[in-house]
Amino acid sequence: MKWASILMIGFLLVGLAACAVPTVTQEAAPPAVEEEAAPTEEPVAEEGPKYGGTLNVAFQNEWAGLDPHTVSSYSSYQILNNVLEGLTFYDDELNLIPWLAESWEQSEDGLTWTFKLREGVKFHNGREMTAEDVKWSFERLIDPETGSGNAARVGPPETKIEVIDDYTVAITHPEPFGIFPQSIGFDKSSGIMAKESVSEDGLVAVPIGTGPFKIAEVEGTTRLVLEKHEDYWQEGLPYLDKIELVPIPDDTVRETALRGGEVDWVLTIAPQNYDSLNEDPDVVVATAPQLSYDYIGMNLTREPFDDVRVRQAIALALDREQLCEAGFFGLCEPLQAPVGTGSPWHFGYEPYDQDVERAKELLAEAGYPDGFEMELLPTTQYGETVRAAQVLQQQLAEIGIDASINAPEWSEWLELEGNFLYDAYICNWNGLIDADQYYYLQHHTDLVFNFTGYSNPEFDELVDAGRAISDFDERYPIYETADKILVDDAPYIYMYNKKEIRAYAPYVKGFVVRPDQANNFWPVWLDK
Amino acid sequence: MNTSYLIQRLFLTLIVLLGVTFVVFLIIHLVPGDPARVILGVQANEQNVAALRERLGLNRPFLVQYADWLWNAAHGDFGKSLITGQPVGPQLMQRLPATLQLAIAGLLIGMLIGFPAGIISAIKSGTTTDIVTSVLSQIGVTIPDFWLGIMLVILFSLTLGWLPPSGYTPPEQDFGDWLAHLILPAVTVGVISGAIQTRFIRSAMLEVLHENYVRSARAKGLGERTVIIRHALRNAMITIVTVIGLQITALLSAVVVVEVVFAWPGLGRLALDAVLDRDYPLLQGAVFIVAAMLALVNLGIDLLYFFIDPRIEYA
Repeated sequence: MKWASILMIGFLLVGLAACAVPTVTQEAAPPAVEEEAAPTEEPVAEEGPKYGGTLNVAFQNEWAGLDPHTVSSYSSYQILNNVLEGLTFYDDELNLIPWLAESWEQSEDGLTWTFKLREGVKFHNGREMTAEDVKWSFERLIDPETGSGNAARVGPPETKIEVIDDYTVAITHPEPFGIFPQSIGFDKSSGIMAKESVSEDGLVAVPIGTGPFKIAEVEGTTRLVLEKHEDYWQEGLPYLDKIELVPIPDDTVRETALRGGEVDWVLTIAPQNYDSLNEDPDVVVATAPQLSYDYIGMNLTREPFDDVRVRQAIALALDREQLCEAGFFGLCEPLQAPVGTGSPWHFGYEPYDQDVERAKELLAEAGYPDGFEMELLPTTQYGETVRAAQVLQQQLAEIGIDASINAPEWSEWLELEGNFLYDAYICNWNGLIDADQYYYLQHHTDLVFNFTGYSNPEFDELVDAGRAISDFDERYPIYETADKILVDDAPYIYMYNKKEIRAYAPYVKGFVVRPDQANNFWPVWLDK
Repeated sequence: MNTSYLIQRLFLTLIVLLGVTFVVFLIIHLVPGDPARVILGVQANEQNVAALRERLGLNRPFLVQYADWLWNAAHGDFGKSLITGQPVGPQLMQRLPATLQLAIAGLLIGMLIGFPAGIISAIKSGTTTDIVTSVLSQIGVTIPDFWLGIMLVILFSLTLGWLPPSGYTPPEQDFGDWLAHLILPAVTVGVISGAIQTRFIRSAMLEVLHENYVRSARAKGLGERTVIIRHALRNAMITIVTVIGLQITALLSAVVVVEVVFAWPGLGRLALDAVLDRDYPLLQGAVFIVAAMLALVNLGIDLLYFFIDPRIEYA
């Protein structure tokens, strides 16, 4: 008897909680906030950054490996971001600045870049970093045996890396690689790692770098602890003693952990929770436009997508605002071309304002006055692609295209996308800093990320030229022309550029949300 | 019970395990999706995928790959994860305790709910108590575990702030903290398991309560409690123990969802990731361990029968 009553009360409580859910999130703002003396506008006349403390961080996904030369997961990159360093670096305004290298110059024939390294930089194991280490790191990255997907950051396997003296290294490419200094600043796959990181079986479990934090503890892929690198070359940095990282896959649970104080900082919040988190005074939500684009990739080896008029018709049929609302809850800017407004490479060529009539005309011209059937291929790996696909389906119906949706999980999706087994796939590219990254590998004939089969010799010439020179003002007009050709040819149909969102506790200071989605923890300090 | 029976059973268990590993190996290799592509992500292209497949030994004939795995496994080497390159065995062993803790805690909570609820509703069959319990257990059986888990987090963690929403501390490090983190996921698992157990125990008890020997025991003037526990329950135990055995089986796999929701670092979550990544060695290892545990649990249950009912004999 007693048991039944207890059970009933228990279930009633849960049931009440369920009904209360819509209002619960707004009520979770107890006035007890004043006991935390951390107002967001604190006069800078105070002592400034405080040293010490542990930052508790929650990622979304587990890190699949920590070897910079073989990783591809975002979580892995973000850990490496604070553990390894590169010769060059993009600052918060996306200017390329010296980092482990103090200066660099290109040879007359454009084939060789010579870097002068900073002296006195110590690895986490105490040893000083020299040109030998740069040579070792780069060679392991480009070695075909390593099988790295990021080898091209440094160059093809034939690239020669020469030690001139302890602090000077020369890299010679078979063809002029004008943007080599930019390329090695994109991410830490080209970071400098100590060769002691490699164990007997040739694997790297714990990379040893020169970065502000070193990896102190690794519990499989469920917990990782970073500790301050005492001999870090930048004086006075980092401020934090430790960073503890755990993956929490579920969005609700991760946000609860932040709100409840279990963690201080989370990577990614579900876009649909942006508003409620923004209103919570115990949480700081910061955004920045990404350097990315969500797009529809067309299969140019298949009819009717080999006809540019069909592709342009689809591009003209889109209501990008609506796609943005559906895909990412309005936290994005519509795009008709790859480069968004946040990048210095923004060209503003926009020929695809929605024009359903013109779209139908083009389809008729191409021989499809009554439309046709097709299949959209988003992936459950990126929920926003599935949401966008559902709205896209409606929009395509307006011009007579009957689209079905197939949304496999990541592994299967990669198989289909990689082997031309699709009509149109939906995905995104992100962290695109230099113009080259928006155009080259995806659209140049036969290059590694060209999954559409696009081939335009005029375009190829332009992007080849663009990456052979280094000066921004010289390159800008080249890419402007290339952009126009690409957008007109429409192998990719662009939808929107998402906002990068971070959420953290009010006492976390010094964190900057970056458009390239990098998470730099060395300027962070805890005001408590 | 004799030793030859035991040996027979152990031998059969081994055969079953072999069969399981073969079938799993077969299935994950037949399913579309390539671990090399997953490792390389969107950067995968013809050349580096082919090179990586070669390096990982994925181009060898299926039976060769299986035989290789089996040979190594027999020597205790479960190979290396395709994704992280770390040895599979230690990784599995490191994650196993968390899953066991969750499954056992969930089972115990389930039993704490199921036994009293099942017995009482059997005794009071047909009354309001029975109907209410039936409805509640029906709800418990139907509730999706991830929904219940998230609801509990919202109630006890976000709103009330009584318990942490996720995470794990090893019990030897801080017992109190471990318990605090264990409660919500264990209750999630336990409530649903309890609902299932309630129903089975109720029907097992009902069957037994109608037997003649129960009527005789009552006629002899024995107190109701003695009748229920000493006579009825004892005889229902065979069915009940069978159900609990099945429950353990179900629980070890059901915890996967709960592990994901609560970021509980168990084997289930690891196995799920292994499936999504097509990380063959890791998946094989995880399945092998779970299958071995289940086989042993079932063997244990079968042996338990001897103690419960001395009349049982195996010819």
